[in-house]
Amino acid sequence: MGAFKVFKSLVVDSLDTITKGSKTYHLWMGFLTLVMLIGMYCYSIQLEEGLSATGMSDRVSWGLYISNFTFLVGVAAAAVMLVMPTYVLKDIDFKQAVLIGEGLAVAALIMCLAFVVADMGGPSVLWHMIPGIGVFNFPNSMLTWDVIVLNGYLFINISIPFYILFKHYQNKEAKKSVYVLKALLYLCFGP
Amino acid sequence: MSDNKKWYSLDLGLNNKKESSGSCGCGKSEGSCNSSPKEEELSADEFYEAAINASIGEERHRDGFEQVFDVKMDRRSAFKKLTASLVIGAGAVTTSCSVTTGSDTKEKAQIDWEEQFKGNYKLMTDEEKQGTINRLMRSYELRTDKKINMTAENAAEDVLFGYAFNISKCQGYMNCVSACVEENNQDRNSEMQYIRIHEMKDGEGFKFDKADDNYYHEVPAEGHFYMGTQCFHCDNPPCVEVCPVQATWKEEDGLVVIDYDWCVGCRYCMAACPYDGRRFNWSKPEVPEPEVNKNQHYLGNRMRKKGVMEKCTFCVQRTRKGKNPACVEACPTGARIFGNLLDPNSTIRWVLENKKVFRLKEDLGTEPKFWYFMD
Repeated sequence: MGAFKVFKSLVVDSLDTITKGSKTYHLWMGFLTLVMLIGMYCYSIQLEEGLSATGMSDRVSWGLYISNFTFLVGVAAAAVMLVMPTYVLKDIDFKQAVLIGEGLAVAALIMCLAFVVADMGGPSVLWHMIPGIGVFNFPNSMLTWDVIVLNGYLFINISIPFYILFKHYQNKEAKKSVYVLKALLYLCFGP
Repeated sequence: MSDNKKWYSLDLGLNNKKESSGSCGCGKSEGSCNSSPKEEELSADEFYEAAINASIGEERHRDGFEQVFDVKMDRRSAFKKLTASLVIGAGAVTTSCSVTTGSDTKEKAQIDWEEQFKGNYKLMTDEEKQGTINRLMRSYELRTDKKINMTAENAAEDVLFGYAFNISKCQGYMNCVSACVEENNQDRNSEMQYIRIHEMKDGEGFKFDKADDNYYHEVPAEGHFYMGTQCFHCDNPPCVEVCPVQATWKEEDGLVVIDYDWCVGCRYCMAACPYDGRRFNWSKPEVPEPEVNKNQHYLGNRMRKKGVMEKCTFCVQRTRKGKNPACVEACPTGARIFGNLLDPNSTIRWVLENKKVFRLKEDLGTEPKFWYFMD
């Protein structure tokens, strides 16, 4: 079977798993979806009125968005620190924690990026930051370091658990050399 | 059925069908169980054929282009399809290239599109600069039916602008503040002001935390002195360093400017500025049309959008034409002095050479081009 076919059935199976559950599970998911929709509605107000809708001012120019962002960077780092023993100390018992820990890290990182985007005055011109078509003021601006670290960290955090899951789904053993190398990259990117 | 197959195949009902057509429930394998089994077999085939014909018809033998275009249809269905495609097409046409909705709408959309995807002003050639200010002028005309005059004048050679502020002369009248607001088209709703006049107690030195910069009493108040702060146009500006997209930079003549259209609104520069020189458009800036200053510069007082930074530009639209900034002209006491630091005969050079001058937070190494002095 080709890798793509396996991937397809992995996606189908996971969709199957996450959409089935008890009533409480569905209620909880429905509640979370509601919270997300409320958030989207509030963001639409902010897009319409500008950042004044958040109550920030020239005196308080960075507010909850940035504090949440820094907090979630910490959460992501902590989640990865939790799974590091598996990679470094070869602690088998900890293996159970790997996927949940890195899943948490991915969720935290996505929220980090979303908070940064929500904090921008002009989210529609964020392409100005993409190297090549925009101007990426790399070594000078601290914010560009943030962009690189967050996206790199997110990429690693998505790719390792995906690799392990993908192998696990096929009942294969994941190659250590692949993910230990990436785990070392963690330490470079580490908080 | 006991085939000795070695593989497992799904029961999709195909075998049953075959058996029922080959041998039916009556047990006979040949001949007739009904009146006409042959006929029935035929009719099943025919039914299958007819069903396919009904659904895809001739398309079985065709592909690609022919399937779509070489379709039999009667007049009624042809009209139906034509009408449907016309309705869809009309929508596309009105939004893109209609002449009936007016070429203005089309031009506006074209300008907005080009403005959305233009490059960084700092990296533009002179033609591109001219192109963008032409678009902006045309856009303003299309929206308000009023003409504005916008320039993209570059820095002149051998010019370095500097500013001096006489603390002993300033009486806190704030004429500079209102002149600045009028000159630079600042948002009237949020009462944005580039200049802050701080009222401080005599004999206590600069204590910005104890200063009152929002007073509404008669000036000059007894036992107080006044000093103004604004963007100091540092020679080593920290705000320029931190911008992730280089939307702010130092021009050749020393002005620290912002490309309002390139700014992404992260407010990093605001956090980096030690002098509180930068302002952010927290909501859409609004200036009543008759009050808009129509003499504009791309980097200066043109209309801003919401969610971008702005700040004092030493009135780039005036100073590059050889005039003084609006605050200097408005000051009734002569406390403000502006000029070319590279011109040995300028007033600012005389002040720097003959007065005891100092700058704010000099230890930070930002090298502001804004000096304070006393008589």
